[in-house]
Amino acid sequence: MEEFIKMLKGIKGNVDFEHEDALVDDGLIDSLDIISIISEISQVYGVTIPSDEIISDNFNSAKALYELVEDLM
Amino acid sequence: MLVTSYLFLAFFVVTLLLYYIVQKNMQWVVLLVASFIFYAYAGIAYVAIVGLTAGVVYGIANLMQKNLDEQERLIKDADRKAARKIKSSKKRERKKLLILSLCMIIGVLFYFKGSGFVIKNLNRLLDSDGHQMISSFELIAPLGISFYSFMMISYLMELYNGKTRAEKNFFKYLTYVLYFPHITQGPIAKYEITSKEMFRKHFFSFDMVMKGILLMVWGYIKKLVIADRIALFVVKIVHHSSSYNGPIFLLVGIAYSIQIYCDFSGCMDIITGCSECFGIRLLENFRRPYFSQTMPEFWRRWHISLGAFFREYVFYPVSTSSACLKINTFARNKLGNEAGRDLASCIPIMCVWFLTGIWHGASWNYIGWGMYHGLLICLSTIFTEPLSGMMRFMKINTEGLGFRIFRMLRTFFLCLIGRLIFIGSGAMESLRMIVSMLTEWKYKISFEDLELNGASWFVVGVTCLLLFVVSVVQERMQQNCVEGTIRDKIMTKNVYVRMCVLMAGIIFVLCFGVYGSGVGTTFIYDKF
Repeated sequence: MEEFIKMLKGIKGNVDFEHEDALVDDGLIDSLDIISIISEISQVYGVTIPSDEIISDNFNSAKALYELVEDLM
Repeated sequence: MLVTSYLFLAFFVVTLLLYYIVQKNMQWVVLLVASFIFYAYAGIAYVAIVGLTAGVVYGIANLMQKNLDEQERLIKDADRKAARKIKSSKKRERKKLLILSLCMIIGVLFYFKGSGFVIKNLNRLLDSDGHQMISSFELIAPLGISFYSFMMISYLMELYNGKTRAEKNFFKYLTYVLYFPHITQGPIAKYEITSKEMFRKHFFSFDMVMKGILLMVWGYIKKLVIADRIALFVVKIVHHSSSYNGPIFLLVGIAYSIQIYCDFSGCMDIITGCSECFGIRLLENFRRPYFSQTMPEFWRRWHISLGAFFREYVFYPVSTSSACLKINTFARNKLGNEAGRDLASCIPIMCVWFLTGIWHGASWNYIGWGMYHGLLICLSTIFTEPLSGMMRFMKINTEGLGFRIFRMLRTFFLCLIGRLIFIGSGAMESLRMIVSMLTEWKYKISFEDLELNGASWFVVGVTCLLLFVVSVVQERMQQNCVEGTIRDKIMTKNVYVRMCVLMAGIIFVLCFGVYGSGVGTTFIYDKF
């Protein structure tokens, strides 16, 4: 999980990924950040997140996103 | 049947009466029959085309539902990881059905709206001595084909993604497709949202109907008093554009920007108000777009349902395709996260705008218009951060009223150039109009060029001022998070005040509306 958060911080350094749980709903990350995150995950973990999984629930917190990646691996 | 005709008003009143007379569980049947009559009025053959397409979509949707039910059964006892695997496998099965149905819907859409354009351009390419290699033809597309096709695609995509359930009753599904307020010009509403409104019991409420009629009257003011009057001037200049030069095109651009807004949003107000009388709320399709500060903001406020459709079903799938993800990674590695992701987003943005252009019709003007807006959105995405940095460095107050007005006018002017691409009689003529507008300022505009007399322009001016004031109030209410709308405020007054407002609106339309056959009577978006 630590590595995962480090990866997210590499994309958007000014966001508190450890504690925020409404990243999308509070506008802390936008659609282009989401695409960058998906691209990074694809490169680092070899997992492609399908477009129908791009819902705010999956991207609102680092934990939810990590679980999604784990499930897709 | 035009929503601005007396026939439509009579049809609407009869439908409304029947709707509240029949048993509550039969109200949707009244809507189906009324929608069938409304659509058949445009041509009975078109009902067959829509009915057949809807039938195929209905069949495929129910096959997808079977797949979803099977999926539900299998994941019941599975853990989270196994459940995702089952979902993925079942989704691959649904994908085949989705592709089949998309081919059918897009095929019909292309046959009616794109085949003539492709043949014409193929003939241009293949032929050099004036003979046609392929015989060309012009088809009259079924009413609202672009809108109902997208509603069908949206329904199937939602089912493919497992976000909705298929309708078991074909006639209920047909009611959603044919629903006369939204079939001609949208909004492109999701089945899930509209069906919840459409198939519940609706009880008559005087206030609800009056509120709906108030919105309809406001729509008629926009369409009949402003749009149809300005249309006389715009059409005259555009049809004879080769005889004009210089600043007249700036006037045409401004006039057409107002006309198309009043025409399209006016129609939305009429059909939304009409639908509200049945107790069915439609999606908001316009949010005062000319107050936008940037082009991306403009497109979040103009034709909102179309933008949402393309964002959901084109932008995200293209962005997450393996090719785009590779480009995204490459660009971020080379240029850094911010600049890289912005540059990489240009590919899906251009895809969206190419399709948005072609959705309006198969013509180089529309394609050019789409690419122009795509380019503006890409530039806006790439330069937002550097320009913000520059503003901070130069200590410019970007929140001040003056700067905000400047940005609004800039956005309006950029849209205006797009309008000239949109309406020109051919891509080259559009280009000439724009170049002439920007460079040939020595030409004078004579009063005869303006087509309308002074009194007509005065009516346009006063009504536009009224529209502006109402829009400012709506904008302020939204900024200050005020609950409700201006209509809600009117509805809090006593019945005499309400009736006065309504009657004043009706008298205004009757006195100052443009009536009779000719320019401006149809809606611009009817042809899409």
